[in-house]
Amino acid sequence: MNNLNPKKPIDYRNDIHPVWCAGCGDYGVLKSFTRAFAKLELSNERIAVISGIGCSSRLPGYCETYGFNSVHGRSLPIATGLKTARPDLTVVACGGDGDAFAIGIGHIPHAIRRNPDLTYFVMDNSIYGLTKGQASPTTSTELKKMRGLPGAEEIPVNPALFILSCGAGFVARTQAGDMGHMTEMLTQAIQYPGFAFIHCLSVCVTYQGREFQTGLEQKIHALPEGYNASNIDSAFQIARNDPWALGVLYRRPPEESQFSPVTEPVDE
Amino acid sequence: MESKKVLHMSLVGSGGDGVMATANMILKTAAKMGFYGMMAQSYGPQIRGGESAAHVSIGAEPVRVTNPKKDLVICFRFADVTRFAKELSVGPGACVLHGKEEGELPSILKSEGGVTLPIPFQEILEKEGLPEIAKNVLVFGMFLHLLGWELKHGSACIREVFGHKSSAVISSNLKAMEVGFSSLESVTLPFQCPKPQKAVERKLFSGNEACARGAVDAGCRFFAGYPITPSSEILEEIYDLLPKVGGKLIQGEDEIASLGMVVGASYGGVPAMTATSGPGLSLMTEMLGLSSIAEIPVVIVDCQRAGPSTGIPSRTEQSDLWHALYGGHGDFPRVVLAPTDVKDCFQTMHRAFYLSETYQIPVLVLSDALIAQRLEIMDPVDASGFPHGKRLLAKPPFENYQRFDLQIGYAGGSGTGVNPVAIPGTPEGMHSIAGIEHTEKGTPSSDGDQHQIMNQKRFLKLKTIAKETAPWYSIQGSAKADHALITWGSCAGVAEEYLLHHPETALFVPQILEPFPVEGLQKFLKDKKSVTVLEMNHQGQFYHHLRALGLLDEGKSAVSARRSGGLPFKVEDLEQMMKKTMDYEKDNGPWTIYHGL
Repeated sequence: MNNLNPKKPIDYRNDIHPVWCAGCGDYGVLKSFTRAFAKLELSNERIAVISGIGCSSRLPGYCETYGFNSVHGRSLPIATGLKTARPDLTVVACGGDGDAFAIGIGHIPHAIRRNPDLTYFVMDNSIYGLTKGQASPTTSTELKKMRGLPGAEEIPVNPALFILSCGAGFVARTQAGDMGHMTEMLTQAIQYPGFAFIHCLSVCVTYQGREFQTGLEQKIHALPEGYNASNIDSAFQIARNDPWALGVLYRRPPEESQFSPVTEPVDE
Repeated sequence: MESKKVLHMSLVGSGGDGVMATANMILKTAAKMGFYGMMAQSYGPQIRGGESAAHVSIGAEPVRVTNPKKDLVICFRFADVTRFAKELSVGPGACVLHGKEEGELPSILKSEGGVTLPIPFQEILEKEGLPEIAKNVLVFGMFLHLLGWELKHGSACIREVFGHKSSAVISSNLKAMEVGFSSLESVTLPFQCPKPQKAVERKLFSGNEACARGAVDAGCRFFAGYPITPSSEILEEIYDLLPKVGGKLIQGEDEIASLGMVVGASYGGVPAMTATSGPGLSLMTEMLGLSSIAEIPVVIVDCQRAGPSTGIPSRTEQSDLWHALYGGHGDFPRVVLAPTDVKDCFQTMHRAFYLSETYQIPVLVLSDALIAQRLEIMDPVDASGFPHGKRLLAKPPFENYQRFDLQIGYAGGSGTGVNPVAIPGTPEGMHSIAGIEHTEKGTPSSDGDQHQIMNQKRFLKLKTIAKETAPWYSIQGSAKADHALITWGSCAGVAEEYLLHHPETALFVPQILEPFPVEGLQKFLKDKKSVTVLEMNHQGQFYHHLRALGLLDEGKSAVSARRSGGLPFKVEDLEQMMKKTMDYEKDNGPWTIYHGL
């Protein structure tokens, strides 16, 4: 890398104006993506961002990288296929809570079992924003009751707990309001060799309201001091009991990946 | 004494009798001796045990069908034989071997003027000190003698089949074969068996193996799939083949993920495919539309089974045609190919990868249970003349690169529909693509005009392809024949067999169904007096497709000869259907529809 001319976050952003509502947490996510790419000095052409469908899944379209805004819930199979074909690429799959934990949830354990070296970034605003405010799998029972949304009797999915139990080697939680933290988590996740998951708490300003953001800001906190992220039992405990703790919940010592790619050279 | 050009045989028994193993050994030996041949299997839904039958046909010339009246039948047990009543008709003068201890021959196995040979299997095995398990090799020895084949051919086969086992096992099996051979020394068949023209060693493949090999030959380097009858052997075979060429296979958690991984790998520039059957194709349909709108080449083999829903997994049908041609939401172009037999699978897979890579379009290959799991002896395929697809790659310098540039792809309707692609990793070519309608750059767009012109661009590919694939059909029979028979896929075999005895009929078989070789069929139908469309499904899907294309609208009587699948058509079925066609035409005049058998 040419350090005399370091990459800037703006180098990873194209000139397309996002469709997101003013104040949407996804703007922060987009900035963190570009910051993490710059921090890691990645070549633009070596990055591919794969998403499903939804507000947050529009993200690849705004990155000056390769991007694929695919179909609802299927970003992980596509990302896995791409990583198999092109092990030289940094592959980031992303999407929202509906995309990940409703239609796409069946793919998560299997992507983790295969353990390809990719990062899965889920923007969780606990609502279906694009379809105007229905309940998502992570919408709290209280909110569902309060708003009269369907599914109040259903228990919300706990993303971190679910992903941990599937056996992922890297699990982190961050929030859209803190770009510094988000960038740090993303950087670590991209650097982690194997499947890395980031649960990003975000707010839908249109369908959840700003009061929700205030509530979120009051609840979130860092992991306890001296927290040992290599201990799976602690990770399970935090995931189960403390859904507002931010940081790297679990980081298994990197092992040699069993995931083998296509080795046939590809014409470029 | 009658001399047989093709010998049709059946082996019937229960799981554990070694029916399939024996049939395999006969076919293997025949292949080495220079015969052509074919083997179809019938089995129930059981995993092990229960009824099973192998239908083996061998001849000096290529064999087209395995279901005419049998010349030679071996029945290990009578218990399950009635289950094959519809698939097993014993010909006049046939030779029937059966276990002596089974008692009286059931009526369905009786042959008019034939030879019945009750064999005391148990007694022979005990006398020779052979294990029960050697029974089928004993039978193999008997076949060798009856067919007039030399022992050395059988020995070579035994050595190959049991080569990985201990020498004791090999010598025990050789002994069983010899005992079987000599125990029938006093018996001769009431007909003469075919002889190979030349002692050329030929290859033995199933349709699924042929699809896997054809695909890897054609450049496939990634496969993701979910096991499903009758396509699973493609997954199994390609799992062995891919590592040898640097490729990779992933067994998906379902069909959606499988095609998703294929889309992802292909997006990364690697030619990729999946294989499935009807229920899997249904699940893949959303992803099929994605690959078409995002313009990512994929190849999908659909080994059709009897449907709908789970249907009959082990039985054949041609009822996924409409799904392949029209399935999915919204308008999107796709290519549909249909191999007619095992050998044709090689060329069809080459064509599938050629078209998908060249035109950045999904290609469906409609195989079916009949071709997929059937074994055929064939001449080696020379793939050197097959076209080889290469994706049109965008090369630097990238000045205002647009993935879906309408100037290039559409060019006011004079383009090919194909745009150069910068695959991820290509410097300067960064762009994003979407399953959602998009601009020339790939950015999501909800503009109606944009959608219209993008559809025009994408469908332009089919027009371009059609020019190239216009000759992808076969015509057999005399140009002067009055009657036209049109069919597709695995039904071509029985149609060809029918043609041998019916010079008044000529046959048209398209090898590509979308885009359809329209001009070829129009030319073929020009002087024909009547038209019959043969297919194996309830609704006459192909017939209606041809009507939709306006191809049968020539003022001729066009008849749909069809029935649901399950059992392959016999030549007699076709004779009955064609006779009705012609009679019906006489009585009713042109433009009538008849609903098959």
